[in-house]
Amino acid sequence: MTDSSNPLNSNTLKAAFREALKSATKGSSGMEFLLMATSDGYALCDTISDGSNINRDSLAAMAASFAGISDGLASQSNKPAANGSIIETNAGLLVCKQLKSNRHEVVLLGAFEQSTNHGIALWSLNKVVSDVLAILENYN
Amino acid sequence: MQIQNKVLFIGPMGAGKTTAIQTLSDDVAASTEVQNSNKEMFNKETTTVAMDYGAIQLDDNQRIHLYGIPGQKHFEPVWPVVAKGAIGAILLVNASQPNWQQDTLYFIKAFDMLAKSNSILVAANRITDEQHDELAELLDQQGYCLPLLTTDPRFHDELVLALNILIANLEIEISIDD
Ligand SMILES: Nc1nc2c(ncn2[C@@H]2O[C@H](COP(=O)(O)OP(=O)(O)OP(=O)(O)O)[C@@H](O)[C@H]2O)c(=O)[nH]1
Ligand SMILES: [Mg+2]
Repeated sequence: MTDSSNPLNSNTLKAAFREALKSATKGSSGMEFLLMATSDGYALCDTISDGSNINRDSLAAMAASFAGISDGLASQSNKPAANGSIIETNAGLLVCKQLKSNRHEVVLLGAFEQSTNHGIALWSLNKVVSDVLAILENYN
Repeated sequence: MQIQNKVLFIGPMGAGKTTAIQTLSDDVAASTEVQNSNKEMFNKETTTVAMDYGAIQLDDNQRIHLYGIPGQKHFEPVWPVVAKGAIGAILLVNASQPNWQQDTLYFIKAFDMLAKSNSILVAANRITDEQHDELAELLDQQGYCLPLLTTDPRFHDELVLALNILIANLEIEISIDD
């Protein structure tokens, strides 16, 4: 991403996001990693370990695509825009949340261990959501 | 009998894929537009993140389902998902963009299977006569024999013409293969 005019590129903002994500991952045992991206698919920050073979940029793009499809699916079903969506895998849940402030749209992806159920996963992610929203509002 | 076919709209960011599907579709097209955070790449308000969808009744017995890909390269893993089952594609080229030649070849190669069977029609917009010649030569040099049109994605009739030429070309290709 080369767009310096995009406020989401601000290093202070990214650092604040990174802190919020880090402390959330530490505080919640079932959380494998968190990733945040702009709604159009550019990676902002994550807690994926350095040795991991996950490609952050592809994951960010896929998370944004998935969020976009969720919104489209909701609107085709006559529902208002989606707030979030869940993918169930044999190795645990992936939960995606769309966050909007007045100026910014971001997508938050949480990956959870197999032992974490829907309720706990959503509850843990919602805590991060409020932290991230507070940061977004502050930087508006 | 109703024939149902799927046609793909491909091309880079800002080429006009979403515009074309919205212009062509009989009903309001479905889209996955979000705020564009990369205005340096292309200065417009929104960009597609997953797909566009619309449909047009081309004639009494032919319904075409129109699918658009998200043009930005980081969405490349999504392209084959959207492309699945398409009989052909319209490749939109916006020749007012700096790297339009490279972008054109990039998309032809990314949709190699369709290009090899001549199932792509190239529809250029914002193009000068000189650029049109350059594009024709470029395709020729690369050994592609693809129909090339100048089409404004905001105009319904021009798109219908492009779609009809693509379908006619596909039928010729199929009968040659037979
Ligand atoms: N002047 C001019 N503008 C055009 C023409 N064709 C398309 N446009 C404009 O160019 C822009 C194209 O935007 P989109 O249709 O969103 O492009 P897209 O290919 O879907 O882009 P992504 O989804 O971001 O990959 C729109 O603002 C159109 O109005 C043309 O022939 N002439
Ligand atoms: Mg589009």
